[in-house]
Amino acid sequence: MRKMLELRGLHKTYYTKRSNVQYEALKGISFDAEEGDFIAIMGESGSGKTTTLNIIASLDAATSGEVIIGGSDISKMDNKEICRFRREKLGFVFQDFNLLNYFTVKDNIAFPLVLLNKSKKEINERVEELAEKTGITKLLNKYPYEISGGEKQRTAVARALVCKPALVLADEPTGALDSKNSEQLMDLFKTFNDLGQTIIMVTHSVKSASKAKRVLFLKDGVIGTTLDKSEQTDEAFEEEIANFLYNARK
Amino acid sequence: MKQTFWAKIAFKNILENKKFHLVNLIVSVFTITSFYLFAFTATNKGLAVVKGYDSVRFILLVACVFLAIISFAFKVYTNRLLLKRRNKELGLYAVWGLEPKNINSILSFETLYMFVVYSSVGIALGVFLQKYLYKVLFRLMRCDFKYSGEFSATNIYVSLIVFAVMDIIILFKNMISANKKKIIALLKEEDTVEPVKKLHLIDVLKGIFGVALIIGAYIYINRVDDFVNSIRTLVLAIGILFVGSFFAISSFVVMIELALKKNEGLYYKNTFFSTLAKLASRTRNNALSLSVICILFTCVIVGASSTIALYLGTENQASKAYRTDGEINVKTVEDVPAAVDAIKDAAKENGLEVEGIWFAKRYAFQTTFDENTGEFSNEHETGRNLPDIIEMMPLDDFNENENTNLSLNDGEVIFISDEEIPIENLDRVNVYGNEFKVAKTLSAPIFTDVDNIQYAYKFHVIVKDEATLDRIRESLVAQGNTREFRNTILYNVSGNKDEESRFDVCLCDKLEALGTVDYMDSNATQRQTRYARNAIFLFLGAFISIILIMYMIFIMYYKQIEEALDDIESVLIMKKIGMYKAEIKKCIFAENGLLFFLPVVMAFCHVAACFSVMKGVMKLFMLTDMDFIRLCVILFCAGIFVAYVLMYYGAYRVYSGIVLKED
Repeated sequence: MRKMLELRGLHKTYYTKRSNVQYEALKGISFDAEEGDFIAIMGESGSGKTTTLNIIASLDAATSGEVIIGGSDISKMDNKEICRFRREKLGFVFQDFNLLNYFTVKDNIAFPLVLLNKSKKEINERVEELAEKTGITKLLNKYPYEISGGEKQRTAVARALVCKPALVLADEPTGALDSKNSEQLMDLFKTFNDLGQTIIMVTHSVKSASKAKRVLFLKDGVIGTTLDKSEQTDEAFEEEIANFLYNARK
Repeated sequence: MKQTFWAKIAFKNILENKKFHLVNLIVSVFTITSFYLFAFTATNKGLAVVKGYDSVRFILLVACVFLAIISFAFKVYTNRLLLKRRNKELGLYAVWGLEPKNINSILSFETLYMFVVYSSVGIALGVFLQKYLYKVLFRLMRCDFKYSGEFSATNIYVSLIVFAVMDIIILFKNMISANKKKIIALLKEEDTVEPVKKLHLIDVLKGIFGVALIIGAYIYINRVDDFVNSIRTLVLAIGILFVGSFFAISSFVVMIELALKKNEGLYYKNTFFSTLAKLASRTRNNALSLSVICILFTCVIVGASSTIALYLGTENQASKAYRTDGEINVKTVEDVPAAVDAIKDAAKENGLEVEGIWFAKRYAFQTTFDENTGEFSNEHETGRNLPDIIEMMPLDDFNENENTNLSLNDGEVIFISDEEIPIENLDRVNVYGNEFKVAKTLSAPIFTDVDNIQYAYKFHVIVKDEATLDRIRESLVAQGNTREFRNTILYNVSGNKDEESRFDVCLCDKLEALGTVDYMDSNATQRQTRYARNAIFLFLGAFISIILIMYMIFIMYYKQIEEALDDIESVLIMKKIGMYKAEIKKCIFAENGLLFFLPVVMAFCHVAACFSVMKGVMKLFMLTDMDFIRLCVILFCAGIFVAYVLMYYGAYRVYSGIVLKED
């Protein structure tokens, strides 16, 4: 299978503005993701998982190391190339949905296509297709403040997938959802993953992580352990993750 | 807890919110400085040397009251903007357990700090500027500089009291408002903005109503012909325009924006997508501020360009007051030779030549004229707000003054009408029951015309001789008209403006000594009086315009900060989705530009519609050169438009600086 993502020796150091205090958030993260992969990144607060995701998403720059997505090294791109790359190749799902309040659900989903100057016809077709797949067809003319948290996150998923991105990045996508909506959202992710969509997700939730094919555990800026789901069921994998975390805390 | 604690919190609050308070502070400083300077100028004894001192002083005192009223109105409005942003903070105080009296203490200390700072800086600035400003004012008035430099504590007290009272009223209003609202309402105050989904029938009706109001105001204002008594009409028209502009912006413009949004071919274009999505809700949320800016802009253009035109056109006005250098009305015909001698003596003493002296016996008074029947009386309904004027003169005087050689038979007159009234077919006129055959019709103006009184139309009836004029007067006296004949002497002397002014002073003294003069006026006197009055208008116009512009900037600046802070999150999302910084900037530029220039475009329409009124008011002040007025308005519009573009660019920089801060 084609390699979709390659991280090589990723380091990230933060400097405080007024003093020379440094904080090394990432201390050499390296891993690969293949096309159709579904990776969950777990770890305690401050372990570096969101920093890793932000660097992959090109929202933040690494201090050193390489990020290669679909063969392109984004660490060597300038701002404009990064923006273009982001809008064409990446899809995002955030914990707090990040929907634009003055756009309808339809407009929120259509936004990345508009940025790519797609035609009206193509926009309508693609939005309807995604809305149907995510089960929000009836909500297309509503505004974000008129729909529930679960519906907002489905909208965010539809927006993330509308450009057929190479990689979908999700940062705590179930963090603001109740258990029922979380379950539905993860099922949705799994469905898209089954269709070949590569997904990398940061999560605290064992249940959510159990839907992934692989779980990376970050600790103090490095990947400590990797668990592979292989042929296990979701429930069995969930138990394995839970046991690992239980033992790690001991 | 001790009051010092709340005083410290209030101080920290002001520092924390300095970007909101700073502009408010600057505007307040300038406002109190202006108020103090107006009061100082009005009460300074040095002004007494100015011709027309009483009217100039009255204008300045009225300006003080006007300034206090508009300052209060804007303080209330800007406070509303500031308080809205602060409600969440007040809600948090309540959540932390502060009692209403504690919150009141914080608000009181904040008001006190602001008052102390702006009033002390403002008054100090006023005291520092007063002499220089006086100098400038006297130079504008073309008078010798007379400055009474005594320190006037009364003006300082008055300024402090007026502004303190305003602040106390607003403070009480804020206290009541903060204490009355529930905590949850305060906390949620900022989150009330919702996108405009669609327009309801009531919104469409409001939009149409708004446009209708504006058109109605245009028609209403253009029907004014009595400009002397038109202040009420103008204020009412401005009020209607304001309400109309508000409804037009909040509904009609939103209606257009939503229609554009519905056009998917246009809407789903990268260039318009984000802009059009936000525009309708931003327009509606800002409708009140935009209408205020629109009216402020209109007032600034009309007020400032009128006062500039008036001042720059002073020479023009003064030279048109009389067709000769001056006019003297003596009590009887027998008094004429002495007055003529006085003119010659004054000219000789000042080394000038008398170029001409003319005499005319005139009988003039207010009337109404029916152009269909040719009848003069007090009974007609002309539909004109101003009266007409009839002026009668014997033929000999007319021939001499106009250098003509016309003749009349018994019962005949020459009829001279205003240029705007066609009377070619008039064969008879009836002057209060005295019937005459019209031997000849001519068109005004004639040599003896004087334009410095207001009337609708002026008509001259040239009668055969003085005996006829006496007969007419007798019949009019019998009808209760007690108006006397005017024995008018007109003169022209050589010399430049300064020499004429000196001659004027000398002649005044001589005529006063004669004691036989009813009335004396000249272009030199008119020039001095008009320069004094127009300079005061310019002075007030400039200050009030600057204050209005400052309030306009304040509203814009504040709105920019407020909206930018609300927009940070959206912009961050746009960037995450992959929007270029340049694209975001373009969107901000377009959105803000549309919102910024909407009130300006409307204001230009208002000004264009008000132009005939401006012309009418200018005519009151004897400024009749319409091309010159038009040029002043256009140049001022161009100037203020350039300034506005710069303001817009500044506001855009503030906005984009906030939303793209992390870059």
